[in-house]
Amino acid sequence: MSSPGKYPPEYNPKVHGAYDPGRYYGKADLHISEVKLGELGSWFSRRSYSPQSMVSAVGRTYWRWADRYLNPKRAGLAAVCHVTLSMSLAYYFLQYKAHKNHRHAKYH
Amino acid sequence: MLASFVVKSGALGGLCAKCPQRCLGAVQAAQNSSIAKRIEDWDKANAIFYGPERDYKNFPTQRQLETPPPVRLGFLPESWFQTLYPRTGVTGPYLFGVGLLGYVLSKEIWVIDHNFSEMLGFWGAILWLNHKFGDKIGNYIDRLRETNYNDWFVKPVQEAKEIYQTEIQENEKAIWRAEGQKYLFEAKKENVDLQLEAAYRQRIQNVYTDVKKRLDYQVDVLNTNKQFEQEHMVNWIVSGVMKSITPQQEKESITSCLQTLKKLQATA
Repeated sequence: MSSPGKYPPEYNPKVHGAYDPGRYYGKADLHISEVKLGELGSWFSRRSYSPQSMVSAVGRTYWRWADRYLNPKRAGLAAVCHVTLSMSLAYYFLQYKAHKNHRHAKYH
Repeated sequence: MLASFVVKSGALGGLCAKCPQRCLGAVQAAQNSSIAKRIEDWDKANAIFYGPERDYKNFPTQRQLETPPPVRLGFLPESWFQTLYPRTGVTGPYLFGVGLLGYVLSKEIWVIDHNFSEMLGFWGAILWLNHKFGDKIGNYIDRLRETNYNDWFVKPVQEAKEIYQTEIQENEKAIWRAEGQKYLFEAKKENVDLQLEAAYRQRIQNVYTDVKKRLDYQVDVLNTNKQFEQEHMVNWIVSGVMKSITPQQEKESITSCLQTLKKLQATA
């Protein structure tokens, strides 16, 4: 468990080299795309749900995304599209109650 | 003088051996000791991050990508499609997308309300702008990035390399000159030795001439003494003889002479 502003305790610069903020340095589990449906339950049970882990997971995801789409030398429009679409989605669901009032069909 | 300082400090010999970058650092280090400290820190960091324990296979050195990974439809990562292909086939991801869209629209989770036209207009404009000006804007940004990169990284490094290259050459020339001083010193030493030899010979000559003068004086003294003694002897003997001759004897001799002359006259 890492404290804010510190490197994760698993990170060892002598073995891992320069710190990559988009990388999880703990013991690697199967990627979610490799997990079989029946083992999903045990896979989720092995995840840590503490607020700190969640925050650092979000941070890692951001850095992985930024290194791929935002920071390359010739970054394209994909990053802009990602941000725009995510914000559209987020704001849509933020005001979901208001949008629901404009439904055309009574029964679905 | 910087060059001689560098040569004296021995910084070049010790540090240049490793690599040219270190050499630049060494020249800087001679100018500024805080840079020497920085080189030390650099070595320390290198030992930590690129030491023998480093696992390059599982933790390769991260580098800035040239371009983002490929995407489809402008924003969907290719890797998602590649993940789904073995499970769903080529059309699977598209079918999933269309199915999801159909589900979301049919259940009115995504409500087509009056704001929907904004989305059409916005993305339509984005697509049109991308189609019309995308390449131009991309090229412009690339040029800007290239010039910035050249102005702020490539050129300063190049200039620094040139400056330190000339600095190194000057220092090497100074070393070469310092080596030349050895021969110059030898030559000067030989010159001084020749002067000493000449002075020695001059003195020996002086001794010779002085001794010869003294000996000549002795010879002259002896000769003069001898001559004086001889003259004195001769004078003494002559005067003694002259004194011993009486007037009688003189008269007799003169008459005898006259008689001899007369006899000679008679016979002639």
